[in-house]
Amino acid sequence: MTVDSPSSDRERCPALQLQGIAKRFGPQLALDAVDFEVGQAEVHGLLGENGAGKTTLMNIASGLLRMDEGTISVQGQQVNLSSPADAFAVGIGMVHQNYRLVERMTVAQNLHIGWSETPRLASSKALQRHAAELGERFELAVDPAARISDLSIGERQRVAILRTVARGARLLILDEPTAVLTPQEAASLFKIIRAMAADGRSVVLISHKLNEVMQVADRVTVLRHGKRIASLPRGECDVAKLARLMIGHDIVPERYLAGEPTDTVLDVESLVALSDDGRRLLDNLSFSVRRGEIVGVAGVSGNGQSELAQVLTGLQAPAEGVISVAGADLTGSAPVEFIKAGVGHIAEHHRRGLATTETAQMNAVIKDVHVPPIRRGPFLNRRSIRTVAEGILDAANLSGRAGVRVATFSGGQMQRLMVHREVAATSSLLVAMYPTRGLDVAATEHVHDLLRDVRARGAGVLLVSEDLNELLVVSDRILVIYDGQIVGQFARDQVDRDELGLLMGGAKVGADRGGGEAVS
Amino acid sequence: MTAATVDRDPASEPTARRRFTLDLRDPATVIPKGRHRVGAIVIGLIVSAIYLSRQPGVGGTLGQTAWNSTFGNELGFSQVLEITMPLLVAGCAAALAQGVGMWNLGIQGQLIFGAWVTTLVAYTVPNLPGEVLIPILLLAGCLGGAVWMLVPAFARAFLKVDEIITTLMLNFVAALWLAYWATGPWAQTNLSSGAATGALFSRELTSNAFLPQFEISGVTFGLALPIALALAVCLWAAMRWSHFGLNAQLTGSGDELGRYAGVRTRTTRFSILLLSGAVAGLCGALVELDKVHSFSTPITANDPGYIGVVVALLAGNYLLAAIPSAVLIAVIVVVGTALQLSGIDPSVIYLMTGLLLLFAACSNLVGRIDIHRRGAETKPVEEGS
Amino acid sequence: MSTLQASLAAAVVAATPLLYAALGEILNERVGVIDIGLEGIMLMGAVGGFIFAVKSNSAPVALLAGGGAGALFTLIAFTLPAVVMGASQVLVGFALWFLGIGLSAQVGSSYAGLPLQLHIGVVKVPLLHSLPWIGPIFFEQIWPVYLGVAICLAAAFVCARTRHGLNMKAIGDDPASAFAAGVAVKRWQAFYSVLGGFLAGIGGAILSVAVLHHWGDQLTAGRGFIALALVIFAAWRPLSLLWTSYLFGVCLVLSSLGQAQGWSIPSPILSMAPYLFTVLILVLRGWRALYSNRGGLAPAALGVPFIRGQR
Repeated sequence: MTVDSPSSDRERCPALQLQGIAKRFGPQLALDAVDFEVGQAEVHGLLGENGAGKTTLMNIASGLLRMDEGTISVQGQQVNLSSPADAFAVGIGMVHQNYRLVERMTVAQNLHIGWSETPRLASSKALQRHAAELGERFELAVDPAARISDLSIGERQRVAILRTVARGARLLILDEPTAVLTPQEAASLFKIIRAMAADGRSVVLISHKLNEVMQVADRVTVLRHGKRIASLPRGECDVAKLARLMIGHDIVPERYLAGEPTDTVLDVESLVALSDDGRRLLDNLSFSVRRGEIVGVAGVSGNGQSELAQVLTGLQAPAEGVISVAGADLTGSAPVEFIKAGVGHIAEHHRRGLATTETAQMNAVIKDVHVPPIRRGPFLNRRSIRTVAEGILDAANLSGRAGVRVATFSGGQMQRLMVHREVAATSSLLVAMYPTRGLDVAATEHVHDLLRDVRARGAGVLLVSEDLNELLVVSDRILVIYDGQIVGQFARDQVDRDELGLLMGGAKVGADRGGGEAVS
Repeated sequence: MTAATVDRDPASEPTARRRFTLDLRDPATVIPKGRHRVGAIVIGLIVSAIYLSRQPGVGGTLGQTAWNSTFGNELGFSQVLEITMPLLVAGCAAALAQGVGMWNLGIQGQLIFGAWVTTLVAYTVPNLPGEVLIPILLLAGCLGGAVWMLVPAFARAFLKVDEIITTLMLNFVAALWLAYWATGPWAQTNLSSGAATGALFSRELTSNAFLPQFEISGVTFGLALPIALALAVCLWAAMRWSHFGLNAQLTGSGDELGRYAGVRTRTTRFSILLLSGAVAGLCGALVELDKVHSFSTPITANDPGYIGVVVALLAGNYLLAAIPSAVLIAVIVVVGTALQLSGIDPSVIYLMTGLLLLFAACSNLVGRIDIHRRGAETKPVEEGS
Repeated sequence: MSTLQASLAAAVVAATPLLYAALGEILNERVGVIDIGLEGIMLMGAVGGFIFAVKSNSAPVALLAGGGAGALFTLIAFTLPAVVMGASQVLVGFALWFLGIGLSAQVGSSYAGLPLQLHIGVVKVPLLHSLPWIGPIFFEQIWPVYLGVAICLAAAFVCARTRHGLNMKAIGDDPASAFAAGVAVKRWQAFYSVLGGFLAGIGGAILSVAVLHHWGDQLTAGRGFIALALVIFAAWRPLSLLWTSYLFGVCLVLSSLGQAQGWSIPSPILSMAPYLFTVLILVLRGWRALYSNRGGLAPAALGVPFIRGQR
């Protein structure tokens, strides 16, 4: 053993070392004595299924959550991180999945919130000047005067990254950074990550995507059910091995099964929806969905998907255009008319589709209460409520929990309840918004089977997802949405991933609007 | 925002090594529990009792005074029943709005205006027989209350104007409205009764309009009391077994969710607020026809409009629980009034109700407390959270 | 001075308690905490201020005592349960109102109706007080009036021009993001709720000591709620508070002005003015918001308890 000078000693100790980290949420043990180590200038992939505890672990490392047990060392020194400010002070910065930017504020303001180096007297002009300088210095320029709510997802991510590096983060934690990026945007993000490592910073990349971890990480740690399963250098990994470690068994790739489309069930013509301040969130959309068909909608979220779902379920009235479901014109009708027409709607997030302070029984029937047998004129039939709810809860594998308030359910249970209820409520069209978000592999496949069941019953499915693999394995046809417009359309066997990615990023808007003539 | 502390001394244990850890659970996952609420109310009562018994002039006689002034004799019990009635009706009005996540802090005003419309009708058609007149007057009260709620309800449901302040402000307007009519157009000509106490009185109503009074073994109560009890039960049943009640319940989970579930949330909010106002107006009519018999300041004795909100809050906005809750507050009011003889300022009633409310507000925290021992048995996560 | 001038000058004094209370609430709500119990806090301030005015015969002591009473009361009965522990702010605020009514009456029962001879210094603002007609209205007032204006200006500066003001806005709009960015969310929410109590307490003390010159049960008569409405009317901007509170002050003195001027409208009807005005303003504002696209002016996370690490 050679005698090291203090500086090279510093070089050799890990940038971040977590030992025996445990964290409980109520009765649930989210992290069970996890050890985790990130080396200097290392890109470290933190891999695991949804719910494995990856984000919780990194929230602890960034001071956002307190751990129950364990120790944290940064550059070889044990530290006590009781808030994100503490973490910034020792050079740890985290870019959260939703970026944690204040939407109503400008880029410049967001960069300076809670930062001890912000001058005490701070006019908005001075802040903008400083923000512009920072953007230039770190080559992450964004218009400092722009409001966060006006930025694209990719720009928001850049602001969040800039905020952490500007505060001198030596260790950058990125939580599922590619979830909402097009493949091309993801590739340029990976370049930024490699450049940071080359600059001597360490990066933790939280992900559940095997390929991207293999592509960019020097070292991979796998978590499963709150436990560390393995930590390997990239050289010892391959996709199959990582999948086995992550899921606990070999992965069987899901196969595409074709549907048998018949007549049109949803017909949308020149649909326009406006925001409160008059921007066109949906711009002249026309498409149709047939019975026995799953139509996927690809796109980076925030390009009009939410508004499309709102308009197709009556939650928002379109400014222009016609919506007909199963031949009936429902343009401008109230949500209850869509429900009566058999339109199901898996909401974007289970909290939007469940009344969490109500019981599971109530939540199972909320789409059925406006029609017989539950509704009898002005009254309710409590017995049919019970029987209808029982059917849905049994299917969702939640039998016996009818009287339990949904708030006490886990995220997976909530999603299951909502998906099964909407599948049961669908007789003509199912609008499925990100139906597998936050689910593990097994649950995801189950949801895909449910979508195929709906299709087999002779209903149509409109599947909105930001996961290209999901769209490719389930959809019979794929539409690409960008900036409120359908910019491309592919039959299942004509999909070109690169072109799809370019369309999602808006690269071909205007140049080739005809790129996807109605293919069916 | 201090810099992270560097701790390398093995003797000093970092915070994360404590034997017990205490967390507060995410309130979204915690359901308020009835027993926590009841426990909080009991603690509030104990604290109040300690405060009162330490006052000079009360001391050890508190228990005796409390018993004698309420359940100990017929007169006291009659008084408890008399005060329970308006508190219960006002409590129902409050619970209706609060059950849908809105606040009706304007019950006092709706009550006064309900009584005003009642009085107006009674002055207009004084000669109808009681069996006809009284139902008409009660309906007039409902109408008045709903009318007083019209602007705040419309503003809340269709313009998203916060209802807390609009409803509250109209209380002060209504109190001045009463002052105007009772001193001006409808003023009583011989001012023998009210002048001394500063109370304002209008002319007395025709006796056809008085609600019948009953006596059972010395305990007296008006017809208003059974009406109030029936109202609470009927409203409870209606909200539970009607499509409208269910719509209201779903709206209570938020507009977004309500609309998702196919509810016309704006109409539902508007109707619920009007209903709440109508019940408050009915309260005014009942109080006036029961004992007061004129459009006068005693109709707001003990501030049923404000205390009714507390009744509903203590009952967790559960309409049936408003009955015991109203009785409890009525007992506090009667005891607080009786303690005046021992030199206690009657404002102690507000102090006690405020204390109960504070403890009840904190009772929801009990369910959030999550203490676990290091290394204790915990089940592993079964799926995504 | 004409009677009209005198009434308008009285309106300035009448507006001052509202100014203090509403300013405290604005700062409070800017960090996302809503305290609807202002009425109770003002009562505590009013009784505390009055007692100390009687005992010390000094206006600064009385005002400080009122502020102290308001702050202490808020700390114990609001900040601890609602801000620190996260109980419902509306519920606790409501309890605060009742507690304030009861406690202030209990504490002040022996002071009710006592006369108060307390001299509060009148400051003539150099030059400005000699302005024709409006000089005597605005620039020959007791010093707490000017202090209120000064605090208002200072608050406006802090909110608009400083790092701390930026952090405050972040807390009010998105506490989770502010926390992740390194702001001590709970600490500032606690600080401003107590400061709000302090200012409302001073407001109450000014009301009993300098405006009404006596103490009695429920002396504030809804001024705490008017202050709450003022916050909305002033759109959470301390600077707008200067003129909006004065407008409400005029409403408050309208009935005495009417009597003095011999108007034929009955006094109770005139007294309705501040309350009806409040409702009218709120409804009109709501109506306008329907047709404008400026979005809400209120802090986005108003009244939502901040829970660390909530997902």
